[in-house]
Amino acid sequence: MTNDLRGDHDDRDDRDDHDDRDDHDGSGGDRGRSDERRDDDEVRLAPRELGRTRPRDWLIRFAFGAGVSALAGVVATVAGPRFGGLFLAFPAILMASLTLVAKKESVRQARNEARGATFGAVGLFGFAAVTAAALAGRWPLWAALAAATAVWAVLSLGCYLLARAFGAGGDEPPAG
Amino acid sequence: MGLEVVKVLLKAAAGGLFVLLFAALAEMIAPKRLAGVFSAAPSVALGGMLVTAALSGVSDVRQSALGMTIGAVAFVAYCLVGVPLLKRWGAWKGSSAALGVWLAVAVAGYLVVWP
Repeated sequence: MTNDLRGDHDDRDDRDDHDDRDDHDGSGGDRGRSDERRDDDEVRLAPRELGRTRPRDWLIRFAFGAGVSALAGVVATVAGPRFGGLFLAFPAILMASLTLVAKKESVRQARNEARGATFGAVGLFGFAAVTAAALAGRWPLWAALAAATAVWAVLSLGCYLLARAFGAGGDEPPAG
Repeated sequence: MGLEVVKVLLKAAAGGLFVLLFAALAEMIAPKRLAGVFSAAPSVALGGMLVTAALSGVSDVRQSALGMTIGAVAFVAYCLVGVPLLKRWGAWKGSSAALGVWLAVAVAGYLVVWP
């Protein structure tokens, strides 16, 4: 499983297929396999998936989130809030998620997640711009952050839906 | 100094909690490409900005939001470069290499906008 996480170059495509078929650590293969059988373009919400995620994976995500937030805090303290703000859009959470998804499902699914994160990152720009503009206009903080979060959702989901309308919203099909 | 440490610890706790919230949403959603949107949610930003506003004031929040615009552009570059790198080098090496792209774009963008 360690090799899956590190992703050696030579066996990358074989591993994609291999991981789609097998579950090395017994933690998520059923999910991966059931997902493969469904239509790759079907949007669905499955709360039961939460129960299938190992506590260790939640801890890893929390640790990455806390770590990045602490890093942003330290940089802001040392170099000022504007430079520290760069790290509010540091992709460490995505990196953690990509390695977890690659381990649990496949590298192909990690690539799908990275493609989707592009839309979210476009939304992040909107979030930051709206926050800065609203606070410059002396909006209350809660209103500025609420508006910025709404803009993030509209921009990122809008970009996703636009891509979907052009036939690029589904997941990359399994190789072969 | 003590207050600064408290600030960093509070930001860490708040950021971690928001990350869990958006990660839970991402876990429940398919297809993966749509779930990926939530991996670029403003989780760290929300946690950090709320704590900053409470302890340092709204002016610092605005400054950090300005910096974040550049970080977000670099995040887009990370994703665009990350997809082929994941295919070429796998999850760990590919995503780590893409971090270098994020850093280069973020620092260069910052220096261009605020020389």
